[in-house]
Amino acid sequence: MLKPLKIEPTHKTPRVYLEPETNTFELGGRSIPEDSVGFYKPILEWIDAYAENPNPKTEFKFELEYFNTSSSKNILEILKKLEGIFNKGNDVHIIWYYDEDDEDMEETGEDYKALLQVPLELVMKAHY
Amino acid sequence: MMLNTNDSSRMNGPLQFSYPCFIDMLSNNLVFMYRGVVTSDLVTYVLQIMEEKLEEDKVSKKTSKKVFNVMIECLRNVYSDGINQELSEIESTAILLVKSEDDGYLVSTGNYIKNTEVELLKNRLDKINQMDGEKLKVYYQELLASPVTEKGITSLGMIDIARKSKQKIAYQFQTVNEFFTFFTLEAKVVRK
Repeated sequence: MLKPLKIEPTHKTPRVYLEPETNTFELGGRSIPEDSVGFYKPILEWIDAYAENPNPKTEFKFELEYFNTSSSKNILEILKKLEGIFNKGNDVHIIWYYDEDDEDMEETGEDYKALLQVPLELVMKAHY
Repeated sequence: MMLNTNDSSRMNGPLQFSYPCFIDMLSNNLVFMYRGVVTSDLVTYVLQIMEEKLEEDKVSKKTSKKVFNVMIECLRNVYSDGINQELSEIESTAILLVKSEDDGYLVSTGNYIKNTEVELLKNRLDKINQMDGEKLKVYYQELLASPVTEKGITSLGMIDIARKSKQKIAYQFQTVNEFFTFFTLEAKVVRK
């Protein structure tokens, strides 16, 4: 079994929690690293390894607060890799969360949805 | 090479200078002002300070997120780490201003660029400013999906500013000398 990948959040980088055993695939918080390619490289490599033997169903949750444009390219890379798993006949479902008052994050989710074939669901988080 | 700096403040000393500067910031409603080298760490600190300031101002989460996003992308344009190594220390510093207005916040950055970069930058901004929301969306998606280049990411950042602020990006180029131009960029976030 592939070892889980856990990255704790910082002021600049998101929390990443990828654990096939518990079917947990989450990326959330803010992403404004100086070197976004360097930050996302191990995540992309992990997904490559996971793609060789994925779970029957993968539900990947994005819960981002804000991110810079260089991160946006890397996030697309993650989504494309997930699409690759989906295209091989696996059940892959992406959930893109956005705050109820965050139309920009909703719009960003729509941008990604327009560029991909993998199922991507936009889910609003209501404030209680 | 060095640019001329204004030495009058040094002659008068900080005691003479603080008060007029304070009054100037107050009368211009400047909530934040920074001059120096812009690094990724600085962006993080600035966001932390702004988070508190916007909270004090009782700004909605929606508006503060927009202000953050616009600041992140404006500051990205003035990053000095390793990009312009030919520049002296003064030339590689930038300015960031955040001004509070009745209906929102104005984020402005300024930095020195090479004269040879002006035309490309101007064309990019004009192209973006001519587009409406729908066209910006299409252009953004097109650049997002295209292979990563420095130019592509710069344009992506500018489209992002235009989309999130929902306003035209104001800009100005002031020729400094035969090598450099001072480039000012201004984006407005309307309070919601």
